[in-house]
Amino acid sequence: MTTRTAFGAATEVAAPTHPAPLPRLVRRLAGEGISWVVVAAGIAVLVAWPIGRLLYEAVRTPGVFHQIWADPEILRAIRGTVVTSLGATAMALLVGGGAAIAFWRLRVAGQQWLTAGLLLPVLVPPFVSALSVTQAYTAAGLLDHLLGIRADWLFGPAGTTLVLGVQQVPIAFLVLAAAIRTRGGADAERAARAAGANPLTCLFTITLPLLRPALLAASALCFIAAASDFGVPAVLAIPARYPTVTTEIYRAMSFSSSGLASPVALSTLLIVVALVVFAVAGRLTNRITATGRHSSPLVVRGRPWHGVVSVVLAGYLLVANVIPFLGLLSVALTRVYGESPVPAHWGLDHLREAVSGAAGGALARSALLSLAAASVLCVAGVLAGSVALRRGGRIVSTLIAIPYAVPGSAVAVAILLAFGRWFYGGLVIIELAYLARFWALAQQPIGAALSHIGPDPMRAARACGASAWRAWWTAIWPSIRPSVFAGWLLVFLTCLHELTVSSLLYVPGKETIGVVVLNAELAGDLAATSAIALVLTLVVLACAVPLFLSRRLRGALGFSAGGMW
Amino acid sequence: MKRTLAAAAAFVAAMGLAACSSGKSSGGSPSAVSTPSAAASSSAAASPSAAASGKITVYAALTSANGKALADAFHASHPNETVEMVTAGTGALVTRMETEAKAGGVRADAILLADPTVMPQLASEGILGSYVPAAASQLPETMKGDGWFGAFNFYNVIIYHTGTTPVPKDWSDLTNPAYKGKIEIGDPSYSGTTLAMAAEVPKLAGADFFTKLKANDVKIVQSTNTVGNDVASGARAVGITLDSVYRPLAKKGSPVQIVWPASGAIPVPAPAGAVKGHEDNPVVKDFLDWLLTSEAQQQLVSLGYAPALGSSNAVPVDAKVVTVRYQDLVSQRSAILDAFKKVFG
Amino acid sequence: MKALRVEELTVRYGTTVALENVTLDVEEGEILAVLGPSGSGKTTLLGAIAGFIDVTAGRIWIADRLVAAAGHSMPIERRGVGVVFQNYGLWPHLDALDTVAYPLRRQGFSRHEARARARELLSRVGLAGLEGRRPALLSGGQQQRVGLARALACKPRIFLFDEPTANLDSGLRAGLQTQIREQQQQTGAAAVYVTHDPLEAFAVADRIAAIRDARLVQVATPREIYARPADEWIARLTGPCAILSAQVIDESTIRIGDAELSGVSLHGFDRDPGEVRLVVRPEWIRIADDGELPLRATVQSVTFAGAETVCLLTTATGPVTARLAGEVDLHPGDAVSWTIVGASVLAASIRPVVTSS
Repeated sequence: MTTRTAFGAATEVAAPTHPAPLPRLVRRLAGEGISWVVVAAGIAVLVAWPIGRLLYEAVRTPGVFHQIWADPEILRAIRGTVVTSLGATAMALLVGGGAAIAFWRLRVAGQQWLTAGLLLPVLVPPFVSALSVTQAYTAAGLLDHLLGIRADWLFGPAGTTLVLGVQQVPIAFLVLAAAIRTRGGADAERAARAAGANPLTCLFTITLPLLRPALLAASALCFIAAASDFGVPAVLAIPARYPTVTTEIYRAMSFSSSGLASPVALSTLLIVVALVVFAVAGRLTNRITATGRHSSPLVVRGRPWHGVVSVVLAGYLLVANVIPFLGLLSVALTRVYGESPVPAHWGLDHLREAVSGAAGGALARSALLSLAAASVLCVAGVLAGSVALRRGGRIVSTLIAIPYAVPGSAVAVAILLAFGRWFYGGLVIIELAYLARFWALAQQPIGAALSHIGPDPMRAARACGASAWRAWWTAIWPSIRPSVFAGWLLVFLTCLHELTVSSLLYVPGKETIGVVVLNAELAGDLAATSAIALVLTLVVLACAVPLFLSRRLRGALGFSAGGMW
Repeated sequence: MKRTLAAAAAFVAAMGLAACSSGKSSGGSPSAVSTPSAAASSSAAASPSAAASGKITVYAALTSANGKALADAFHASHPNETVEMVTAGTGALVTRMETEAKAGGVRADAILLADPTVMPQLASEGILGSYVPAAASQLPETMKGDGWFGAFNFYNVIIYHTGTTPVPKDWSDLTNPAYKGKIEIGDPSYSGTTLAMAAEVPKLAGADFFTKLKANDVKIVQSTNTVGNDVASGARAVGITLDSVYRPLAKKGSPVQIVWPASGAIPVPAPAGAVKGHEDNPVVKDFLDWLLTSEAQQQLVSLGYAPALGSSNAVPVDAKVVTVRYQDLVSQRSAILDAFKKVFG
Repeated sequence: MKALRVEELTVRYGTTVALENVTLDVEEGEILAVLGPSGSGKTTLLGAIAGFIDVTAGRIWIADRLVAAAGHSMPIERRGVGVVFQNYGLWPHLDALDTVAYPLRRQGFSRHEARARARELLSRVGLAGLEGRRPALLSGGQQQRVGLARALACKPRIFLFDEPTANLDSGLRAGLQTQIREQQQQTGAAAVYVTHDPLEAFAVADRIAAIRDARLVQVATPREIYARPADEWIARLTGPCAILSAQVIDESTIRIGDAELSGVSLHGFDRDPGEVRLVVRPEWIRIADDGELPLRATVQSVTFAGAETVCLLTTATGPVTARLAGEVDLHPGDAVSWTIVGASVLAASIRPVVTSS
């Protein structure tokens, strides 16, 4: 912000000295156009062509849509997806949004640790989350062994909803925290309190209405992410014979008489859902335009609540994160699967196997892929973020989000159809799939930071005589650098634990760590699966440690996507 | 500035791709995972068809470890021939081949899957070739089809957690209220191996078998692996799963026992075949032929599978095995699933 | 009964002291301006009174009710305050009418009644016809008048104004100040008015509390604080001035350098003759042609300011600013003579200007 005032002050003085001869104007227009062109080309190559090619598969098979709609199961599946995703969204808003609001309004003890804990699910593949929940809570799980507690009702819509909800909590938290930071004027609340509203009235008449756009945006993201997830319903919904769209897609893929057509036609459901949800959310969000200035957060009285919030959140983290992790750990440590997880049965055999064998090379390959994807997507995210700010830019964000809104397997098939002819057989095709799938992930925080900065610093720098590039480098880059790094880290971590895309695209000798995990699962060796998942989670965690250690980076992620740290 | 930025983007993209392709070339070295690094020269095995040499890719629904073991054994008997295995679930491999077929051709030369019911579909899509080894004539009619043959067999059997009483002896025992809330089976909508079970067991244990199982609060999970794990952990006491699921668990010492049902286990062949257009590759022929040699069959037994040909201790001599007509299974698939769904919803 | 009583108030954030031992009263119907530069603690004082901020020590009473003490804090909504914010604090999702009706609804009026009264209040602040507008469609001045109407609707025991005109164009400021003063007078409630602008404080306030580095340094009427600032820092805070060293001879005679000036009206001369420091406001300077008045100077700059002309002089005792009525025929470099007709003696006991916080 210092740059802003510095350059802002300079504007008035230096503006007249900046000549605008015609050639420069032309060059500038061309320069503005270039990022459009690059982003449009990126969308064409990474989104439009593969997704279009995918949809073509369904469209050209006559009757496939009809066949899908005729299947009574599909309506149940749609209902299942809607119910569990809505439930997960509600839960994510309640926990993540509630925490964001509480952290803003109250001095919650251990706020930093609680924040880190709430964000943890970002680092764990949903499949692993669901697996560890079963290993912790269901029959013959950790708690069953220790306390005789078995929550077998977790198999079914309730458990699916809860675990999906836990997975979406970080999204809700980050989006709402960012919104609170940028537009939640503390004065608005103070004014309401001074006008005679008690804290609860204030929450419902002022705070929540003010946050409505952010609540909508968070709901949209959570809903789409939950609807496109397969790992959680695979573990928790299928055993209860509770179909969702993604398990139906999986079923169609495993056992379909119409080849690719039916899974693809099913995937269009999710694409349509994504488009509709984004369109509606965008429209509703636009209605209330932000006028908010930055204002220092209001720390409100209500001291008894501070402790209550800490305890409730800590309890939530214990149930949602810690115990499942211990469940995973207990299975990975127990030498023989099925024996009770007491110290006498512990051994490091599975972990040793997990880190030896193919896992090492696969990890290196995954790291390379993730590194490249994160780096390319940061540039792409900056470009898309700046394009998305301009008039009509919303369509850019929506298009970029499509590959993120469909299951990874659909993206893998789309990329294979679109590029298999030329790039198949190496890591390039997996890389292309990562670029397509996770572009939205990079664009989101970077775009948020860019829109947060606004055009003034850039204009001021230009007015001071800086060339376009230099102005960007000196006035914009220093402010968005933390967010770019946050986006980089987000993409890197997500790619690192990506499972489904690479398992459909790898070739012998080019396994990724995801392939290794799925192979262990295919073998039905839960101990090995748990051990590899554990190692993977720990590696991802280790990579995320800079986030939690560096105050600056915390601020970065907070500034870009959150705002609370 | 945007132009410079674009240039930077292109540069980074190029770097990324370069990094990937360098990974590709290093990964493509002969020491790749599924190829044996040491040339097994002690090839006392039957000398294969003269001068064949080269490398083929097999899409195999095996674990990567088993895939590698099988590839190594083949290479040991055919020193000039190499098999690279792409291992994944049957569904993933089928999806992959269907996609590849539309994007420049299937990359596999041969396939070794775990579900015979996908084979007619692969044939109709022009993916499955026509080569079948001569030795396949020894297989029962039901264990092979057009363009494929069973390289080894799975059997749907009963398993139970050690110590469970009473010990079930046959399919019909599972309707005993003593097992109420303790049984777990696979879901026939996700795999053909379980589809065979869903079709055949009612014929052995009575048409109302699943209705009674439902009354016994049976739990239905997606995969037979899950059944194995849940019975091993004790989450469920009894389950219907595959013998190939049972063996690795038992080998590692998990508390799980197998029961070959008195009225008959349900066999499921693991279909192998050539990919269309690759049938004439001598290495493909050698590999498929080799699968039915006693050497390969013994190798498969050592990996925990029941052989397609010859005897082994994998299946008890007195075990009864029913006959399943896989062509019928495919044509009746939706009827079988509907009947199943009618019971379980 | 005092409308507001603040006693030995201290506010600390961790190790940072935001307010230190502040004691002051506000009478019924009185406007007290809190004047200080940014970061001095004036907004903290307002926040402590309103209940936005917890107090570390000391006590605050509003209308004889204890509202804040260490470990005690009456909820904001029960304090009976009406707050007008620098950034308006309006609610983007509510139109002007519903914004003003909001406190009335909280007071238990029916929706209909609340809206009727809100309509009346809006027309009182000159916003009739704009009831249906949301903040985004109102100008800054209009937004702040909505804020004022809302504060009026609170029927507060005490108004709290937090730099209400700081975000407005200078043209709008005076109008809003007058309006605030008028409306406050009508209700008869007391007010605390935070500002960094001395002219604004002079215009609206009955008394001014000057605050520096978390401490209250002087509380006085506008005239008194202007004419008799307690120290050099307040002298400069409350308007332009020259600080000169002089010898006081008697209550109307001083000596600067070799020149003796008589007929000077000296504020704050209550001590023995001797060396003092004088605060001299620009309008207390007289200028004439060279040689006519006792002191000599060179004109450094001349600035035309409409009704008056501001003249910067270079003198033997330092730079001196003079404010002359009308247009003056002076040019930089001219030699002039000057004298002082009024001055304020700074007490020698006043602390040095720089104090640690």
